[in-house]
Amino acid sequence: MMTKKKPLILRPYHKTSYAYEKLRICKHCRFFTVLWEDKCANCGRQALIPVMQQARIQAKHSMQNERLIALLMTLAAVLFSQTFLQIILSLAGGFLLTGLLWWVQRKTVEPETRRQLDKLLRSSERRIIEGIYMNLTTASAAIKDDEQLGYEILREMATIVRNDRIRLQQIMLLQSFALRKDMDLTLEPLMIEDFEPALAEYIGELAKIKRELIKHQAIRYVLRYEREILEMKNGSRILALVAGAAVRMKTYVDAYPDFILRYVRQMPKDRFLRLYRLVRRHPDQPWNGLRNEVSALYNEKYRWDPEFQNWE
Amino acid sequence: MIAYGCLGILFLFIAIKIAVYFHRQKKAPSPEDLDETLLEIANPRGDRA
Repeated sequence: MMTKKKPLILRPYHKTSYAYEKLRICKHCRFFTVLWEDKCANCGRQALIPVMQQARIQAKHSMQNERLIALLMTLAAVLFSQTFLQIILSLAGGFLLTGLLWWVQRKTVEPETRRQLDKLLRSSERRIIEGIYMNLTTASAAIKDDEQLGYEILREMATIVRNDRIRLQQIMLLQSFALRKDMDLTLEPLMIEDFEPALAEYIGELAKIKRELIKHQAIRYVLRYEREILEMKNGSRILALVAGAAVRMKTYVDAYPDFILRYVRQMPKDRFLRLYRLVRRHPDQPWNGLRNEVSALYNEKYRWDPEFQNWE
Repeated sequence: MIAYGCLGILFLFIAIKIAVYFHRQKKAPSPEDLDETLLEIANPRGDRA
């Protein structure tokens, strides 16, 4: 009996340029988290800020202290001045030098911030791991009661924790959801090394609803495990769907003509039409016999189909 | 005399700090380096896939 898939609306996923942009630290207890929570899970305070912001605070504090030292030395010079000229010179020299320091600090605040962040990460290794472990515990607890929340937590964690265990958990959860075209789905971050039937099924689903996610990595995966996929219940259908997704770009037809040739007869009409138009537009390319097979199939089934007459 | 001494020390302090800042600017980690550091921490060699 088939388990009913759950329809749902996933929380939008905010992709960042760098993984560290997802990491936050509690200003109070220095606990780390990857999740979007408002309160720190460790101390309960609303004191979570991005690690880069914390590094910037540390860099600016350090620079402020240096300027303070410079001003104190200026003050000392003024206090020890014996003539009015010395006072003027001490003040002018002191402010000029402090101003110069301030100007250099302004120019180097970005690299200093990055240096502080590097220092923060390296000195907080244990606490970062503890934070990640706590997030994983949260994910496990969430999966039991609310699979959608569990998936969303794992999706955030996968930005930083990169292993097949997390990927596999995400794939298993995705397979229990009714996937739709408008959902914020991904494939490449979920690709694992070994053969996993759930991943093959997920690729098949994406080939139907979000073809643009089927790229070289996914096609190579199904090619590598073609034999194992064919042994699955809907195996040949999955492969035909992937082949159908691949024909959307000439790049993939050029790269995988043999694979497409094997499943061209199982492709739905709209995908075959796409392939037919591509083949007609490039009359000089044989594609290892794919052209001949497309012609043969066209003559057998679609010769009198009006949709196939406008291939330009 | 002491005042000039304080100014001299201040000058040395600022000069050294500026030299340190420019040196650090050249050696500062890039965002990609920071990412790599974090990923190494979060994915110890044994667990990485």
